[in-house]
Amino acid sequence: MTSCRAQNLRRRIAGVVLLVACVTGLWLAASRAGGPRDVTDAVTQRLACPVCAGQTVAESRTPVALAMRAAARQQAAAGRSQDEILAWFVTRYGPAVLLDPPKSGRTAPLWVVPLLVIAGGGALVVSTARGRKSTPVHRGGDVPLPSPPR
Amino acid sequence: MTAVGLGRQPLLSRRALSVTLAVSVLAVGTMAWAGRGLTSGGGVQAPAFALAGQPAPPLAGPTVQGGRADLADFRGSVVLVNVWASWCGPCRQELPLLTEAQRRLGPRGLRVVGLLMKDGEVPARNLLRELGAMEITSIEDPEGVQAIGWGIRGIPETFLVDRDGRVRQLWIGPLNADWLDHTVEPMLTAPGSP
Repeated sequence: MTSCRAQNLRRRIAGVVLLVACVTGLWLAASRAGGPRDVTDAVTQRLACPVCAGQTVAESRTPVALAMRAAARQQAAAGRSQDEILAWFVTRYGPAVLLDPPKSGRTAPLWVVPLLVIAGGGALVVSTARGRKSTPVHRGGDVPLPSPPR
Repeated sequence: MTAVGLGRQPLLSRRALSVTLAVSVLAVGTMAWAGRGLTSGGGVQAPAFALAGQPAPPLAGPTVQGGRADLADFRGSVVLVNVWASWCGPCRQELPLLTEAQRRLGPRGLRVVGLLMKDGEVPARNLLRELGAMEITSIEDPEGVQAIGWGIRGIPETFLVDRDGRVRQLWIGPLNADWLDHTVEPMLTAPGSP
């Protein structure tokens, strides 16, 4: 009887400890999200390294990318938001520094030109292929077509 | 014998081939034009850059010479902001030219200000002493954060700032005397010059 009550008590204590651990973990995670470190990470993953091909500022180890990370870190520590920091980089490097450039009038060619090139190329191939299939070609000079047998 | 039917034609007609060729030439020409300021064995003037015509970004801090400097204090002078480091070979190459420009054009209102990017004070000072270039005020930027504020992509880079504190030109790579003579010097004699 006594051992059964003790066992229940132990289970309850274990349950409470587990609950407290989960709540504490969630609270810690929530309080860290959006902190300067997260803002720096998010910003540097959205910036293209201006001196390397296809790498983000977060990935690159070039001196310029390292300095860009330091600049982002400094501004995040000063309490600036992701968007504010990204806008600061755009004024220094232009919209091409963003991996996902904004769809504005000035950057429209970045989105429209590739689509036009693909559409134009496709149309050219299709029209050429159609012309190739349907055009009959005479071989052997000006000989008339033979009449069908009667 | 007469052959009638679907004949073989080239994959692209003559017209399509001409259009493709014209587009290719245009694309290559455009890329060459756009990249003309970026590829060169020596330095080149950037055809376009984000800070052109904008007020110069802040630049202030301790100097290699041991004092403090602030670009804002040089308002009214034409300023060459030269981004450099002692570990950069082309920077070493252009320092004598910058020193000579400071000596020759300083009395007419030119000021050369160095931005020492990601470098130690001691090696930088040693290099300036070795080249007799200690008169080039160089602001230390150990993490490179101030240089990023100027939108630099590599070093050396040199920005030309007018008397009103606006960025006018960017020279990428080691400087040459022609650029100093034909772009920098005329700004010293422009209207409003002392």
